[in-house]
Amino acid sequence: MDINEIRKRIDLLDDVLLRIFNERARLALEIGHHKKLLDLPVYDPSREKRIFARMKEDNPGPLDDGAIVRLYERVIDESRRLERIMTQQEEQEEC
Amino acid sequence: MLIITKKNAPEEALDQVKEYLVNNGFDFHQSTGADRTIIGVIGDTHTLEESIISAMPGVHQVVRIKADI
Repeated sequence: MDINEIRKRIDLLDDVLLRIFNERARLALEIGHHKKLLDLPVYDPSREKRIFARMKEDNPGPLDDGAIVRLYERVIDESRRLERIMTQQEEQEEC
Repeated sequence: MLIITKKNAPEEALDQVKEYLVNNGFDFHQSTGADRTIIGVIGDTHTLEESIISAMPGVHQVVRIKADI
């Protein structure tokens, strides 16, 4: 493959990642909704640790475990933020 | 605001800091390094007590970002 072909493949993967990130975010919002109904906290450190551990365990490389953790930190930080915003909006609507 | 942990601070100490932030309505971005973690607090942090966070176990330094003049 030449450089342009490789870049095209990366672009295609980025499109897939974008869809997956948003699908994951939608599911996180659903979780947030359930947490609110069950009166559970948005921040669940044990769940986050389990995600990191599972991703490191299943990591085939070439990204090392540290890189996987840093990438997932971003994903989880944004999921948590989204959950919190949704919870606040629902609380405002209830008032 | 940036919260920099001590070298190899235990997970429990980090959890305590993050829980404090979340309970006070703040989002954060965590970035794990080789032996320290940096927690970037998102939002208007003027209501956050620097001294409380500095005194928490595992916290090495709290850096408040200066306001633009």
